Amino acid sequence: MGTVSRAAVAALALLALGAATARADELGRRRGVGMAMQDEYIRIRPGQDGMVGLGIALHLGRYWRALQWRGELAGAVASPGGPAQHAQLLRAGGAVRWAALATAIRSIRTLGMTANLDLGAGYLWYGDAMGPIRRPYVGVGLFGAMIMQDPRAAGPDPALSFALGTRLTLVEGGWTMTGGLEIEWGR
Amino acid sequence: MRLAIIAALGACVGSARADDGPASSIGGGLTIRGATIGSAASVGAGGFVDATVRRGDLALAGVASAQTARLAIGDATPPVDGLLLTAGAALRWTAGRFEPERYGDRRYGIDLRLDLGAELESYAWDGGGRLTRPGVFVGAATQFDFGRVSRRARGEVTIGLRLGLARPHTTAAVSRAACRGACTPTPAPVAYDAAWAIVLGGAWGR
Repeated sequence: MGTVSRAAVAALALLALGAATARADELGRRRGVGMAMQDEYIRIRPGQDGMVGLGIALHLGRYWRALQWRGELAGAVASPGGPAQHAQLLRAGGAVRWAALATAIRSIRTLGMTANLDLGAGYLWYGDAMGPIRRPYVGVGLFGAMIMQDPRAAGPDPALSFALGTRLTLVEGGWTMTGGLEIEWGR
Repeated sequence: MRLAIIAALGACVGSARADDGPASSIGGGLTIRGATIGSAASVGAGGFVDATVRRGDLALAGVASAQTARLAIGDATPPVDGLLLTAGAALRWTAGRFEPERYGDRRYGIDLRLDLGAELESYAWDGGGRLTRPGVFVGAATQFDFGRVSRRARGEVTIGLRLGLARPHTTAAVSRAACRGACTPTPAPVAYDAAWAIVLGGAWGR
């Protein structure tokens, strides 16, 4: 088992423990569900040039104070133009996101801004005409988020957050870089 | 796989909530789409129309589209233009809902919509040749609900992304379309084809 694989297994165990014990963050959110539209730069197959892809990601999260534990599913397709290089990427895993810096402006509705650092791990499937690659991954990301919190909101999800940022994902022999906009509905 | 789909649908039904969105609506918009067709790649853009019936957080939609398509394989072969027609159905689940304002039956909302569907796609290439096949897709979208925009109608605007999978065409069929005969070198067979689409649209309903 390689270094990345051992790190991924250890991180997933910690993430599962955190998610099981998470309660609520300082804005009262207990859980959130969200989506992201993102670009993905993929350089996974040794000796192959990198390629830019378009992806989508879904997540489910639970909060405890300034931490969020989340399960994630992300897919991307890439097509740099040459034959036999059309590629598909799928990632399934978890991450813990820490709102390291936070500021809140309280009025009728609360508007908050946070700077987030996240660490993740999981399993990655990559496929192109040259065959599949399946490996564990670890990732590190940096995000800035704006949170709208309305305790009087009529709907069942009284918070909405927008996060913009980037994440580096490492696997044995390669890496990907992801950047995009994420929206989360929290309650 | 079937059990997983049935379980997902059961979870959606089990978590359904009362909803003030339109019970039925029609809509349309623009889409940009890319797809792999064997070792070739197709990109294009066009329009779509859809009709939706909603119950709680679940909706069933019929969707049809017409798009341009440009098929390219390698740098040595000139690309081929064509027309793509699609028709299909999707199950849509409102998984998240944020409502900053509500006055009576006037609702403003920003919703998360998740889609699961199947469609039939048919490419018709200039100079002859047709590639038709079924496929499945998943999607996620942010939906801006403007509530009642007139005495009779409700309105919403959606921006989203879809990812699709389909069984590949035969290498011979791809060569006929992309190279007007046989490609040199012969394209390698693939296990499946993938597609993506960006969707921007609006809908009006009651």
